[in-house]
Amino acid sequence: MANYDNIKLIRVDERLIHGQVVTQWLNKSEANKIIIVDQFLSTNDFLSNVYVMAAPAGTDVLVLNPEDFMKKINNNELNAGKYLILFKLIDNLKKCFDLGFSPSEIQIGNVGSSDDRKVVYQSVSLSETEAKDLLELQNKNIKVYFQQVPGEKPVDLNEIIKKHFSNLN
Amino acid sequence: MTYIILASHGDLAGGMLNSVQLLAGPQKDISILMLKPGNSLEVFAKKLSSKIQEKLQDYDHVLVLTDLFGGSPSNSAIIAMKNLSFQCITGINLPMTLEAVLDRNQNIKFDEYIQKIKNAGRNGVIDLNKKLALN
Repeated sequence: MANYDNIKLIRVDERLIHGQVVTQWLNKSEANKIIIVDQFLSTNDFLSNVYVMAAPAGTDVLVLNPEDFMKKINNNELNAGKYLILFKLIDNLKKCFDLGFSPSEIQIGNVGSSDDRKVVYQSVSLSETEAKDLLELQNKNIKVYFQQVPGEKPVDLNEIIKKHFSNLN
Repeated sequence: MTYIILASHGDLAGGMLNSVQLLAGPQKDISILMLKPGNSLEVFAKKLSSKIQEKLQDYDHVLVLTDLFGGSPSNSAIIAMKNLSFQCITGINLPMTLEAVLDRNQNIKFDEYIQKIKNAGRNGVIDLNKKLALN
């Protein structure tokens, strides 16, 4: 069985390592290692490096594609340190889920708008496909909640679905 | 001549420019770029890059001052540095910004100018209680 004890926070945040994460969530989660799981970034050294540089001193940053991340999970390789896992896209999160990713909870922080997405919570927009993906995770007992910064009250996925995707209920 | 861009999370850059002008009078050759909730890094980085590119055509130097190392405005500057040659300093405060605005027309080398700005930013942080206790 994969062990998730060292994973302190899993967050979907399209801006990845940025102000809210560096000043709030890193401290709150007490993580000293960050893994960015993103197919595109894992093939782009330049952009990956931007995020590696953006992390505070003493915080290791690793950029992995979903397959390599799941290898680490399944081989219990995340056993030294405290981890913050960041996804840029729900699509990449779903890929990991399909490969057996089953943490207890996932935080949705920032997802930008696009033609097929609508605003559902502060700076989170979701497409119907993404809403369905999140529901699928929730159906496997993964708690999905929306929260931008620690001081705010988290909002449960069910509330978001009821309000914005009532057709999926 | 140096062109200055202030880039921040939310309204800080606008407020900073406002405060600078209160102390130093109306300023030209300076602009602000403010990241709003929901803005993506990509869009902000593009805005910053095109502003820098435009100004590099008319100015000797472009100086970008950002609010927070590790934040999206500063990450956008890292992205812009791939293709453009400009200076960026993070951790903006009023003493730093004033120095940047007031000293850019002085006849000093650009390196020296940058050093003065960094010093002003650092030296502007003073523990007033300790200072009073010493005097």
